Amino acid sequence: MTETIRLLQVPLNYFRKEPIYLIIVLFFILELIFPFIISNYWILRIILFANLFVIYATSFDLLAGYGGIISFGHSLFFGGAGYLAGLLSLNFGLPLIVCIITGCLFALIVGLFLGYICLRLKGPYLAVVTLICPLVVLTLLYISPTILGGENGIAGFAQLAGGSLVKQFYIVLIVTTISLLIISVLAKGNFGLILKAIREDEIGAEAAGINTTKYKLMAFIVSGFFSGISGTLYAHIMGSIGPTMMSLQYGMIPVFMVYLGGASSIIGPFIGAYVVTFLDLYLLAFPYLRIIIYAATIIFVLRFFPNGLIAVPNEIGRLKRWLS
Amino acid sequence: MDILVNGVLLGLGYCLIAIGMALILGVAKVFDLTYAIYYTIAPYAALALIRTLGPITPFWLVFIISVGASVAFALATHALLIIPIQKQHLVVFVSTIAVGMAVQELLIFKAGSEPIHLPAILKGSSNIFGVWVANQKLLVGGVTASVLAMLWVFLSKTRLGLAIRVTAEQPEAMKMAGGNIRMIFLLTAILAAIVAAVGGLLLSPIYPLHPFDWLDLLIIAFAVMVLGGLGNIWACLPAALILGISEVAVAIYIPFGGIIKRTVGLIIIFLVLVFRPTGLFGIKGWEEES
Repeated sequence: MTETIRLLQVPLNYFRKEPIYLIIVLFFILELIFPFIISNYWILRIILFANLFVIYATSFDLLAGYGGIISFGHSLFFGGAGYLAGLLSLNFGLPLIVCIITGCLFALIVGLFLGYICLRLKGPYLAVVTLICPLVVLTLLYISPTILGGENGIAGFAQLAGGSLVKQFYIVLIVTTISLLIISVLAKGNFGLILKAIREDEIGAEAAGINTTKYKLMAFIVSGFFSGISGTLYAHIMGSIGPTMMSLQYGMIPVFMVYLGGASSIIGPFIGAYVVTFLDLYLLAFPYLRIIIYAATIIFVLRFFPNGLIAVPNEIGRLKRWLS
Repeated sequence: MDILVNGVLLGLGYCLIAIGMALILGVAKVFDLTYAIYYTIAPYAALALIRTLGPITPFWLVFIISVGASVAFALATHALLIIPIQKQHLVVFVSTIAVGMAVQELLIFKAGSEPIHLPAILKGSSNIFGVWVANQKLLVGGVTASVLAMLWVFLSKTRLGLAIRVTAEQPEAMKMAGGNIRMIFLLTAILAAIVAAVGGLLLSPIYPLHPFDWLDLLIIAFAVMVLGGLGNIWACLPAALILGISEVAVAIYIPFGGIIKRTVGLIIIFLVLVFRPTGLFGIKGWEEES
């Protein structure tokens, strides 16, 4: 009997030390029943997109929050993977899973390429170089209307699960949970620790025997891969893709989410993704005020809680050890 | 010749856009992305004034009031939002982008999403080295040159300029010497807003201004600054000229030039940064000390 209790305590202690896993599992179980209790099609769809953006934001957090590599070209991964998946599906009629995996691998390679370029760059210089890449690709899209769809993008390729919202919801939920688990294992483990060390003091980290080049490239690759997952899924849920997916606007979305929620914590981007997606999509009912409310919320939160929403309990002095 | 004259004039315009942002970034070490909003607000204010007061209003009055509007906005943003959270660069970055989005929507809400046309201050065109150029463009070039000269005199010859330079290099030393850093930051913001507003008022008759344009302007300003190298505001001038000349050359010689001209400029910056990670004339280690 005591033996059983002792065995049960091991995972419990683990959860207490790193509540993020517990939160992910609870989130998964809670959202499993959402399609049964939420009858509103629109709200379920918003939650689905929020889940997608959770992957996008946490992957950005791994790079920017943990690694301190602030890239504004994250839409390159998101849009690039989405475009490739869409093109493959439309032109060659490949099965969806092949398109999605190819898209993600493509994002991974793009991450390797961008990471290789950015190895020597720092701070604002890095920001500008990463900002330029999607803009250049965006121009390529504009000047090739026959292949890449031009300004209108491409539409009419296969949708995920034949367009059934509930099936899509479950697929996205499962993918989100798995991705979140992998990202948090990476971020809370050695990998995240080394990235933090590189962020704080790159020369120091190198002196401690860390291969900084390898870890920076790995951060780009992992981040690109997970952004690619969200991009391909997004493309296949919408059934269409346009140049906006590659634009500065989509590159800024994860930045907003991560800093609104609180950087270098997995739970922060998670909260941020939900808040931003709900603000963005739910307020569609007020077309004129939408962006003003959206922007005002961000300004207000960051003015009074510069560490993001995750620091609110910290600053009030409650729930301090429980979160993060 | 055609390319050179037009490119130089375009480059001077870009320099006018970038120099204020370089000033804020150099002194206060913050990414004030509302900078493009200071640029945008002035033409809108001028247009509103002209509409309400009638077209006979003397242009210097319109000019002063609209520059004043943008200075007031800059002061408000800096005092209320940026200075309290100044230490966290990225938070400043994100929240100023949010300010920009809010102002953009307000402008669309109030003035519609059509591009606005301000009347040109100088009409007609003149012949420069065999190329016909609109007088307004020449005015922009002249104003940019004089703004640069005035900034240089102000920063290097006056006591206040000295204070600004000290704050840029050693804020701690400035504090120890009893200087009020907050005031210096606000002063820098005022200077930058004046430059931006003048730029906006002079450039918007040539390139019609659209509420969405602020992101484009930011990319230009950012690109020029980074190409020149951060921490060195005078490097803006050669960088802006390079960008301007290359854009005009591309627009003339290459098919699709009109669409891809901006991109070619960006690719040049990209290549420069890949091979010279601190820009053309950057001060090494700038980003570490900030």
